[in-house]
Amino acid sequence: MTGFSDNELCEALRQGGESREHAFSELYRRYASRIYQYARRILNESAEAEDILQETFLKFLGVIDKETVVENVPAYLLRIARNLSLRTGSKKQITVPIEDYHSIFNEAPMEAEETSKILQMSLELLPKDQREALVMQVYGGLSYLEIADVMGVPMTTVRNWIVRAKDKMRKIVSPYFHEEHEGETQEYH
Amino acid sequence: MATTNNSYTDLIHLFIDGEATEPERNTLFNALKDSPELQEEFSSAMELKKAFATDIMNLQPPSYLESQIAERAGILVAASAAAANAPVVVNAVSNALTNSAPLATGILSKGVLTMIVGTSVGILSTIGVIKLTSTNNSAKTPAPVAPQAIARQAMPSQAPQSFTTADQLAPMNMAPATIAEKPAVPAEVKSEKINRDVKGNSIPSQIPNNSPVITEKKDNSPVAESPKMHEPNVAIVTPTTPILPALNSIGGESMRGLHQSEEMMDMSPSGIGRFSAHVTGIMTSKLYQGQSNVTTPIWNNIGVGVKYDLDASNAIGVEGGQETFPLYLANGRGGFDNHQSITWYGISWTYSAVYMDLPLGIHPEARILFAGSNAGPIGKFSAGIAMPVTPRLSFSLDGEETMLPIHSNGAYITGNKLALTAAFTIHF
Repeated sequence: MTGFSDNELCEALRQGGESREHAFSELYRRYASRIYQYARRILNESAEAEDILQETFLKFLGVIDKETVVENVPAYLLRIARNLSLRTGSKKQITVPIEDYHSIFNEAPMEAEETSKILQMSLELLPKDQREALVMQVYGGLSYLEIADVMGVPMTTVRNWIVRAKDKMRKIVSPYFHEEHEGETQEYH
Repeated sequence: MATTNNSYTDLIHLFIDGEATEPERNTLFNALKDSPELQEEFSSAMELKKAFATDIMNLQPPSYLESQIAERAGILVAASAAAANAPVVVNAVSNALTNSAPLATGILSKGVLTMIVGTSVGILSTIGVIKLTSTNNSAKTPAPVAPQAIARQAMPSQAPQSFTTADQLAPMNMAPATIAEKPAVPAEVKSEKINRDVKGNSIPSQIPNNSPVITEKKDNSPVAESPKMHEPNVAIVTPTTPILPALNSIGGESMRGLHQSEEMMDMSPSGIGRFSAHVTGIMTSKLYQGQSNVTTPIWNNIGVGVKYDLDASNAIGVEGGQETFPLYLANGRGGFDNHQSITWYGISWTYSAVYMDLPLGIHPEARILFAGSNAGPIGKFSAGIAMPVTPRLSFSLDGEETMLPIHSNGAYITGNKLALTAAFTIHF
């Protein structure tokens, strides 16, 4: 079903039987990673991210079964995931112990896993709105305009949030990258 | 209009996200030519993008979730479909090896992070001596280059190779059919099966038998495409190489957002998305020069206009309106007529301090306007706040000063008016 549009897949979901099975599988293949990555970076909990992914798709399937037309499936899925994440996130206080932050930066060399840790910690240092917009753009794969629609703010605000967030993150993580780059340069010479 | 370093920072991120307009790109390119500091900033912004790509590769949902969700939803997913989640990464990597063996080998042997960081820093820190040329990757073997150029060579086309899911892979020339299709099923059989599943026999197959590349079409669904997407290669040239072509190449497909599809590209604010239209009500607060005895209603005034966003903070516009401004105008018969209002048309520049994170999305704004009117040239200056109402509608409240030169008793004086304006703006 890879050749079909999202709308055709949604129609197939309503038909039931084997079509429903394949359509679900294809939609999951297209968007599950985005939803999961979004939830992971917003909530910083793999178990909660899995729950969000499950609940998002279950709610989506419920919506589709009611003959609701969904114009932009990825944005719609992320809107559901966002609402679920906000509900989940409001129940807990996310904090980054400063000791952890420094310990990450003092360890070298960094590998992919540590890169993920640094990014997560840097994300959590951002203001909530900036972090959410950035995560939607980077991990959710939405455009600025789609993010504006999901978050209910003007696109200029989204642009501002994302630009500010990326610049803050760039400043936070750049010392680490410079260290890596110096090692790389030596290797090539 | 001067552009601050802060604005250049904005442009760097907008450009890397594929959200910069053509004027913004040109502004950035010109600034990058002469600023090593800005080049450094650009370089580290690219490193951040690569780090995100690495992170995305590491963050994949467990493979059992698909069948778990399907079970809860009452959908029976065949074992092959449930297991399809796991081979995605494997297939993606193996296809990457096929299409771009040297690069993928580099990733696997040296570690993704090392390769990514090294390549991005390499190319961007010496951006003035690099030229990007668009070539067909599948048909060309890169020319030998100096050892220090190895890392740079990979950067533009390598960046997307850090992506993992089919959608993430789609913008580049390595999104494999194996991601989306079960390898053992011949294409003909698969196409027929799809037709039966969804639309009966009426829908022709959309998947050519020999299509190895999946890209996204306008409705966000992947469609087959021949493997001729151009990816830029890098070659070392003389330091006199113009920076603009090089950056233009960087800003192409491979430099767009990590997940961005063609549909999203179309939704970037480079076209009509930069335009907005507004309707303004003008309430006269105070008139100077002895014109306080105005008989017209205070809300007799209205202004309309269209604006174009130059960047996140600056917009230029064309505006017109009619408003209370009582004065005497020479009637050409040696006398004067009493006018209660003026009608004007002009151009404006608006600055919005959108970087201020105030509650409810409120941000300060200021505007200056020069216009011609039936009473001569006028100037306006306004300042106030704007706030979003919906994603496409905003409301602003400003204080506005209007100035009009008046010929009185052989000398020119300035007629002034202070007003309160309220505007609704629709963002296209």
